[in-house]
Amino acid sequence: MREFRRLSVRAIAKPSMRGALESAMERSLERRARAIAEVPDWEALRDRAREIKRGALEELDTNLEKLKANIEARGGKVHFARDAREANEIIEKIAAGRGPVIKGKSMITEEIGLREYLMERGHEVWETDLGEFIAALAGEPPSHITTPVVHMRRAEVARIFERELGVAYTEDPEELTAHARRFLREKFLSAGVGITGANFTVADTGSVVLFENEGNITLTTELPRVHVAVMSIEKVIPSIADLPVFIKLLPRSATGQRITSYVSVLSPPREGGEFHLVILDGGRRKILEDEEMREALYCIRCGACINVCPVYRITGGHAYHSTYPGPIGAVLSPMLFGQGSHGDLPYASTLCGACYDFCPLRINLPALLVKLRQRGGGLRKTVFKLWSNIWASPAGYKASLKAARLISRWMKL
Amino acid sequence: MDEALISKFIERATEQDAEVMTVGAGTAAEAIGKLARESGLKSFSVAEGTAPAVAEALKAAGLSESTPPSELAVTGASWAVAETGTLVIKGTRRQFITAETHVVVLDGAKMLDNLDDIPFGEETAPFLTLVTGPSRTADIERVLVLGAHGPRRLVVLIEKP
Repeated sequence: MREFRRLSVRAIAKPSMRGALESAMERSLERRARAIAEVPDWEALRDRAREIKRGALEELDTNLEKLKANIEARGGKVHFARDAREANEIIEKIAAGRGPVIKGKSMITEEIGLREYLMERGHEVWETDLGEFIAALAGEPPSHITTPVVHMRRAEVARIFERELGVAYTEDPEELTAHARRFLREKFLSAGVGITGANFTVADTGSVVLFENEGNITLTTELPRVHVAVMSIEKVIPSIADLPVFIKLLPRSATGQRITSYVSVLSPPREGGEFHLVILDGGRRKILEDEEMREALYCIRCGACINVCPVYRITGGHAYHSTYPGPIGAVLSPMLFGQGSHGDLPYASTLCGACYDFCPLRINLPALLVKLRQRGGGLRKTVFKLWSNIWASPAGYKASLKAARLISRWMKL
Repeated sequence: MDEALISKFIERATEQDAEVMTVGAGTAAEAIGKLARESGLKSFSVAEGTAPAVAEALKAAGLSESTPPSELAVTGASWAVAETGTLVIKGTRRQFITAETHVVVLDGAKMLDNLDDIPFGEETAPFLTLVTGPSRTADIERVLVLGAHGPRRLVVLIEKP
């Protein structure tokens, strides 16, 4: 239960990381603010996205059935996996005897530990996103969901490349990127299986939608004969007509870009290719049935709540000892991975509410964190139960903020 | 042809590090030949439906035609989106993503205002890629580097009558 405290103390003692994180997060928020300012109907867009996700989950089984039917009508295969173990086994069977595996960056495959699972069974597996590639070479998990090695300074990358790739020491990001490009291009050309996540899947067209900047995901879906996409159940949206809403929302919230360099809208398999979609529950049905917590499944993994979180900025991602760091990680991890191992994370927050303001889907993260604290049990339970009741309504939430301001004024804080 | 949309596209695509120029109808091949000569690239491929004059101009510039991957790839685009400086490209993914330089010949009449105007619903092409600027990464200390895994250069030639 005290894992976050232990790891954050250790992280804070590493001064190099703090400067890097603070400035990276700050810059990404500035870019986000600029990108959002040019959208005249940003707030309406957020409402629309929330409504789409709410509806999509309401009809989840219908949407998943449609998705499956549309993909299978084209000759693709759809597999449902109850948990990480099942998903890994399915993917391993598909990949067996098909040659080297290349991977696009995907949180879901991090969550199920797919790379390690495949490598332990003798598969050659390469992460191809630059940040993930660096993290994998370093033997570390990513520390952020959109920028995996945001905690690392360039000298560290230089040493890792020198040691692992046998290239001359250079701290120049351009040269380092070129080394990775050359090294991985060969892997792309010789791989038999490409594995990606899916930012969205579309029920009415059976499409898989992937956002990226590097081009590695396009290569991963295009060069190997076999493409395996892995998604969790909540990624499906009902209609392709809803896609523009998310294209406008996701990159702006994530990296402050109007759009990423590549957005792939795929209806696989391609001619002569083979396609598998693996749909993972992994504890999400439980969240779905939990009316109070359900909105946690609206998350589109943009990372805006992480970028703005004052706790994350100090501790970095590794302190959360979970695939999902920051406020959304503190909400999802205890529910997905267990109260026993991750029950400390709901306390890794000041409840300042910045995450709620920044979440494009308006997920009330502070309220969910308070509820989880309350459910966690122990002495503090009663206090958080009361708090949670107040925060259950928007009026109560606003009133509590007003009260806090008044109290701090009286106390001259 | 909507001049305001074209100007907006040029502004936005340029902000995303694409190189954009307008050419008269039927003169794209000439422009591509010139660009290829200056680039020093050695091999090229063209997408299905590209005017035969393009391949001729590239051969005349000393490049040899190859199946992808080639250093230079020429494709068309079904639409472009002014709001984001985006090209909507059907198929040919393998061809353009493996190239060093991706040249897109775009009919100026195919300019859309924003992402809502892409007819996703009517589109039956199995593979659509929205391409905005060249391949990029900022994974190392947030320093922008072009040509992470895909093309280092994206050149857009807008054909006007």
